[in-house]
Amino acid sequence: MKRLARFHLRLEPRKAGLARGAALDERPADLEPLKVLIVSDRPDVEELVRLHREMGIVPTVVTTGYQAVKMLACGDDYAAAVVDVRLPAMTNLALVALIRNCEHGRNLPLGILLGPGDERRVSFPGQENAPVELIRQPLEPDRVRGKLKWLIEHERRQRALLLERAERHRLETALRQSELRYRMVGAATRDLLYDWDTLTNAVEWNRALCDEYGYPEDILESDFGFWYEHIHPEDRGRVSAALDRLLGGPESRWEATYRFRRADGSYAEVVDRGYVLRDSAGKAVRMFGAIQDQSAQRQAERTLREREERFRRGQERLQRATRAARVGVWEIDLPDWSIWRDEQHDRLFGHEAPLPEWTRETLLAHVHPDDRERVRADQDRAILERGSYAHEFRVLWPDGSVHWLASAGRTECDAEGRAVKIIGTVRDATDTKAIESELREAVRARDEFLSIASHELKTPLTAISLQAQIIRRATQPNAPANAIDRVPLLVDQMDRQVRRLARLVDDMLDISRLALGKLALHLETFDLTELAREVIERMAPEIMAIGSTLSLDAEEPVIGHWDRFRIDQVLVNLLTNAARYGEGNPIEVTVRGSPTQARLTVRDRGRGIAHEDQERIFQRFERVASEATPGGLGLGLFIVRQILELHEGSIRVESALGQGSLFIVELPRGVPGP
Amino acid sequence: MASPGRRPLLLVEDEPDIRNSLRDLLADAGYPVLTAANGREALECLRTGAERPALILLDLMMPVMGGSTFLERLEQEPDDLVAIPVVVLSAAKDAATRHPATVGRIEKPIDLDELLDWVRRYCG
Repeated sequence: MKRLARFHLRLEPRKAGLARGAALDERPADLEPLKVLIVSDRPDVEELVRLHREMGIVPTVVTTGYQAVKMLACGDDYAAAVVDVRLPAMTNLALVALIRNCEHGRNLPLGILLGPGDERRVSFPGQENAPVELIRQPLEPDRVRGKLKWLIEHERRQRALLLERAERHRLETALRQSELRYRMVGAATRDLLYDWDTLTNAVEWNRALCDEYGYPEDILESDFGFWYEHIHPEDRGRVSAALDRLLGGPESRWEATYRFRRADGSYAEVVDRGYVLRDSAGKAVRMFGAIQDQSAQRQAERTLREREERFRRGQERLQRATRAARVGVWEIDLPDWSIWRDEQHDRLFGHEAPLPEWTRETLLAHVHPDDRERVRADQDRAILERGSYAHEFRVLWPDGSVHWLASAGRTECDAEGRAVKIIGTVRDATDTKAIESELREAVRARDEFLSIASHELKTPLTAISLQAQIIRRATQPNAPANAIDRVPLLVDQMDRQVRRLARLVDDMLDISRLALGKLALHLETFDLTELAREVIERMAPEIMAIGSTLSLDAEEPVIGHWDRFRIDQVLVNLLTNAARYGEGNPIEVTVRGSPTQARLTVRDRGRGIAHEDQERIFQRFERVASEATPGGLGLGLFIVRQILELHEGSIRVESALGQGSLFIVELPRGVPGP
Repeated sequence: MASPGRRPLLLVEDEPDIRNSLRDLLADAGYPVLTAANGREALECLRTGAERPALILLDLMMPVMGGSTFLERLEQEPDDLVAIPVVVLSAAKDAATRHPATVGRIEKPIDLDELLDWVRRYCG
């Protein structure tokens, strides 16, 4: 700071010098026209006036001491006064004393007019302040001129001196102010101020180097190297190059941003603004500047940028997510029902491009007429109760398709509890609805299966239970005599019902095995024709019991590599079905073989299967059955198809209502034919 | 061995083993039994039968015409037929068990003593 102050002193004198030079040059103008006060009532005053005028001096003549004092008191600016010693009513001495009492007379050079016999005094009041010259009469022009010139020169010098003194005072005051101000700024600022003498390379810093950057005080006077070394290595080259350009070029102002090391090793991000002082040849001699630490600001900017970026990314993510999830966001301003919605919203209502406006009427117009009142009521209730709602409704797209949407909204209230907004989302629920209906259908099918299963299981159980009770009665002593005769028949029936029960249980086990993928095939080589004959023989009594007949049309053995037990099951299921739906008409079975395929058909002459049911019957729990045609778990054909598919075979049905059904089984033989 | 003078009862059941067993048992107990394998046969029997049954034992799940449909059709018949009491043979409670004509329900598997109680009550 000392050096900085010195710099000001060194800098300012040049200005001060200029000012002083100007003041000297301008001074004659200050005193022009020179005025002199003449106080005399003698006749030769005219001569005196003439002499003054010759010298370019403007004389003012008064005849009495009072007038003279009055003129001086008026503040007229006289360069000198010429006073007669003999004045009426006032002695010469008294007048001089009066003049010296005046503000403007204190230092006024005086000429004293002496007549031939006048006493020559040697001392006058104020002689130490201003010269006093005696002018003798009769007037000798040369002498008078000489005296006047002397007096005026003296005054001129005095005034110049005064001016210079005043100027110097002013400058010193200004300098002191400036230096004080500089010191205050240096202390007040957190900026790092430097003064770099480019000739000696000395650099002086303000206290910010200690206070803000943590360096010890002895570094306040260091050199260029200190500064240079504390610039971040990555910035050093760039800053140094810019500085070289500055010092070598015509510019005075400089600005650079770089990282400046703190005492703790961390770096401050600074902006350095400098000013170069040059000598008359344009060579840089000093550089002054302020280094501002912008780390916090930069950090804040970075944080803000990051935050903005995060927000933007969040927005983007949200938008992508809502788009992917087919979710639209909307907001209703309640007072006027103006509706804001995001770009996804209108798409959910079938508009690829957003509509120019969306109102409640727009919404309701899109909603399926059957759902419209419900949607309106749900919203109204939410507003009324300041609550929320979630509902699903159908919308009609402009292309005529129907879509399910799920919308949920929540009412928002102001401080007074008035509902001001409903905010919510809407999403496509078409798929969900489809799954829901599939699930409902699956549950329905399962429930129906359970109901059928329990009936199917109870029927043989009921029969067995009855037969057992009847046998018990028949064996009691008081039974009718012929009752016992029926027992063998009843036992046969029981046997049949138990088998039936076992078959049902097997079917149910197969279903769960199939569902778990645990139905394994045990392949062996056998003749399908032979198996068909065997099954038909086994089932014939049962079939004939319901008044039907069974026939087999098979010309030759059809050998293949299959699971005998499972193919047996296929035949039993198909024949049981044919018997159940064959309405007592003949059932025909055929077996044919090709080199690679076996083909088995079962034809009944029953009620047939409607076209729309023909695929459904192969599904689990499905039957054509209504109350009018019960029987079976609805598992038979499902199991058949699964078994055949495990053999890489197939089954299909050809049928029409009232014309019976033809089930056609195709089985790859698995091994080369005989 | 039907007792003379008793009005018959009508047994409607699709499962032959059950139907035949019950018929034999009731006949042994002295009740004349008419049988039908489904609702349609039962209606035929009521319309053409010489004697109006004193009681109908009705299974519900049957092919061609089930018990519930039979009860609905029965309402369209002359009053004397509508008035016949019905005991439902059913594994589960059903709308049919609440039908005005239904006076009772026997759960399957059927308990013969319970069945005979109902028969005695309505057929003497």
